[in-house]
Amino acid sequence: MGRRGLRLITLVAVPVLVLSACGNSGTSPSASTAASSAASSGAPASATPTVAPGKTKIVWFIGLGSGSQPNQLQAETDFVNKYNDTNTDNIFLQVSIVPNSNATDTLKTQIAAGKGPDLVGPVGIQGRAGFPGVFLDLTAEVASNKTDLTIYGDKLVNAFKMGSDGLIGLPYVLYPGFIFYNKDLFAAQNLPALPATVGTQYNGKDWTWDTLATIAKQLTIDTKGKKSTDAGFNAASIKQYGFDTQWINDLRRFATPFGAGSYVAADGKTAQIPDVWATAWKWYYDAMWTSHFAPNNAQRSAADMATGTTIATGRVAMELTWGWAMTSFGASDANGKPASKYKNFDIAVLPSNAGVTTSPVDADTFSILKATKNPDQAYKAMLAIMADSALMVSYGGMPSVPSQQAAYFTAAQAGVDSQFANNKITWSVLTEMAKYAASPTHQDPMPNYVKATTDDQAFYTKLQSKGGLNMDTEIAGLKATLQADFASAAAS
Amino acid sequence: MAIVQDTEVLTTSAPKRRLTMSSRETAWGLLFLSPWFIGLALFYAIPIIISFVMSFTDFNPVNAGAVKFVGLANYQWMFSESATVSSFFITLKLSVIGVPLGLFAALGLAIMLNQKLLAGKRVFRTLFFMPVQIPLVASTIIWLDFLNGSSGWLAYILNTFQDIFITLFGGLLHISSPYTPIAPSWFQDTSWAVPGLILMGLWGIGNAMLIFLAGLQTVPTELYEAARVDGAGAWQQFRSVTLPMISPVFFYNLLISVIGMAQYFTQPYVIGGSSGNPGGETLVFNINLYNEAWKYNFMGHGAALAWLMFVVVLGFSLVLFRTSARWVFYAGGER
Repeated sequence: MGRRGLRLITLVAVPVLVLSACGNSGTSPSASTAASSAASSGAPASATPTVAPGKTKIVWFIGLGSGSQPNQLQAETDFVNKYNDTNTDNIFLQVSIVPNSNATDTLKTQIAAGKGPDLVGPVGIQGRAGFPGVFLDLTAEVASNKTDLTIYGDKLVNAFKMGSDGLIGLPYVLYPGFIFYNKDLFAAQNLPALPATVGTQYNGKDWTWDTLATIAKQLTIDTKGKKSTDAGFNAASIKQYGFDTQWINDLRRFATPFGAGSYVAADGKTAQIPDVWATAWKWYYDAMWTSHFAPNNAQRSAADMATGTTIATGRVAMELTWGWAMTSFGASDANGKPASKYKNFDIAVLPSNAGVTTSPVDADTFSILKATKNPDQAYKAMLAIMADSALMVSYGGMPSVPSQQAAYFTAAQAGVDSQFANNKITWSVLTEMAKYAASPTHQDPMPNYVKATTDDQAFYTKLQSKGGLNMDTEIAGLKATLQADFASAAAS
Repeated sequence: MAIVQDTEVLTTSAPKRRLTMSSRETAWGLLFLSPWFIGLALFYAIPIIISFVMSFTDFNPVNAGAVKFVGLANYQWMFSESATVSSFFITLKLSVIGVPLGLFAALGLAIMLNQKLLAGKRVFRTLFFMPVQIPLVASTIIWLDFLNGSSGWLAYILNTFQDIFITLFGGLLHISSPYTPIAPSWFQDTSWAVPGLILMGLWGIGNAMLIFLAGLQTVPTELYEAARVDGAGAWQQFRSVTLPMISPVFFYNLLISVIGMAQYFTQPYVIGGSSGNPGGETLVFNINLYNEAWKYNFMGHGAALAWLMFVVVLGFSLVLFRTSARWVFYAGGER
């Protein structure tokens, strides 16, 4: 090769190297392949087919909450394809699917670059919390499109009104809190089934958190068969626990079943710890470190406790958990067999505290970004997404519209039937618990929301990780930390 | 026509200026280096400048249009912020204990592997270096299981020894069942999380060990022979010959370890997430920085924290360089 040829190759190679280092592959995957590769690789994916002339493109961002699981991708792809072929509003819907772990950062980057989507969801309060002031108040769209909000009821609609941000979503699916219980472990101790309605007594006693603690102690057994109430019980070698929480990572979620409250006082800037929450945390701390009927951090993260997914082990009699956990109760392993080590289970209403029953209800919705250039089309697309029953089933939540709930329970029972023989779930517990939804919610807005939540989570693991703490001192410390967070938000 | 003629005259009278061989080589060299220069500018120089500017603003990525200049407010904020102070001291604690421990452990291993009498040196070198090659996330997850206070191998070993001991001597010591297991819960216990991170860090000392080993092998054997002739024992040889001769290597490893601690993020993040679980004990400086910038959207806070860390590391490095004249010895007398 001559000198001129070498120069030519060099001149071509340098820009190619630079561009390949800085750019991406530039390929345009199809909706389904992009979605599946996104779920596995962690990279965002979007279907980028050509928008037909005269149509308005609406980008739907999925992953901030539910929606990026493999079993949900097919339902989403099917819906988008059908909607793009049939809608009469000249809307072209494009999905952008990002795995949940990357979704917040990806969305922030897109918004900062001025390339945010039009529509986001399904997403809960926690997922939206990192984006204050970003979402559109839907009040005008509701009025111009004559959307009937009476089907939801005022209480539910008001739960989506976020202070100065206004109505940032419409009720879509609900996930009430409840008690999961392992019927086989109850039967082994000759204990009857737990109450399915609020106000029903248990074994002649009011169904309270103290009653739950009493039976949880009877259901906690060490490796030598001694109950936690027996002399010589070995707390360092427990075979079966009476109680645990499943997929709770913050104290507000744990405390709200003892009573609704808020970290922030009515003035919007003063930190407070509601008395019922302090009661709840002391109850839980005692359960882990004194009564030993709930596993602590080391015990629940052990390999033989499914590294925290304790509900699956069959070694916990009762679990405080939520509606969104229902989809994983019947989860199967790689061989198609049930991953869970229990056979018979049901759900029960939450116990009361001081005569009041309260359920922290998670509520997912869709939100439209303020920056969208097409709010009306985005709203119309959002209504279509919310009306699709297949999508709703794939997201696994109880519909917020009462008339749609029976169909959801039938589909959910079919899912249970495919894994557990003759295990009928008392689905009415979910509707019963929705009636006792906490107000304010367990994810009530507060200044410096994400930071305050992070401090709350750190405190939660501290309680789970260290015995012998003075709870009053610790709670006062949390209050001071939260006050500093609120002050920091005010200063910023 | 006249013009054409003039041009021809000009062309012939002033020959085309040709680059010299050295200039051409420089030009080609720069051309070949240009991807690196472009990368340096795009991914290092420009972000460094932007982060410095950002540290004086209240930039919020979800409300980028409302950015405003806040002067030194972000720098004032960080000294009053409890998470910043606590995360700084957690990192300092890890550095003060972990860095010397890691260096001396690496040096100890290197000395052991430099012994003539040791059989299977290559096997041991490979084994001790191997952890360096394992991706940090994977190795951290393995350590999480290994150190689990309830089902981890270490807990199993310690508790088994305890059971045997109490079976044999429990009667004499008046210890009866049930007794509290001896094994700590490491990353599930607020008191043991930092020691757990230090223990985990000791596993990855293969790089420092290898550098020490290379340093040890450059020490001239004549010096040891001369020391022996003068009656020096093993400890005196180590103190008066080995340590001074490998002091440049020690200096290098110390500097790299300190810089490594300033970048410490992956292991505590995998273990405790962004909350620094358990109870904020694994919230090191860089996780706090990450939280402020990307989780809480206070990019100005994050940028200010990054510059604080830069200043601290720069200051420490300068102190090291300044004091090196007193304790680092170069064979040729050069520094």
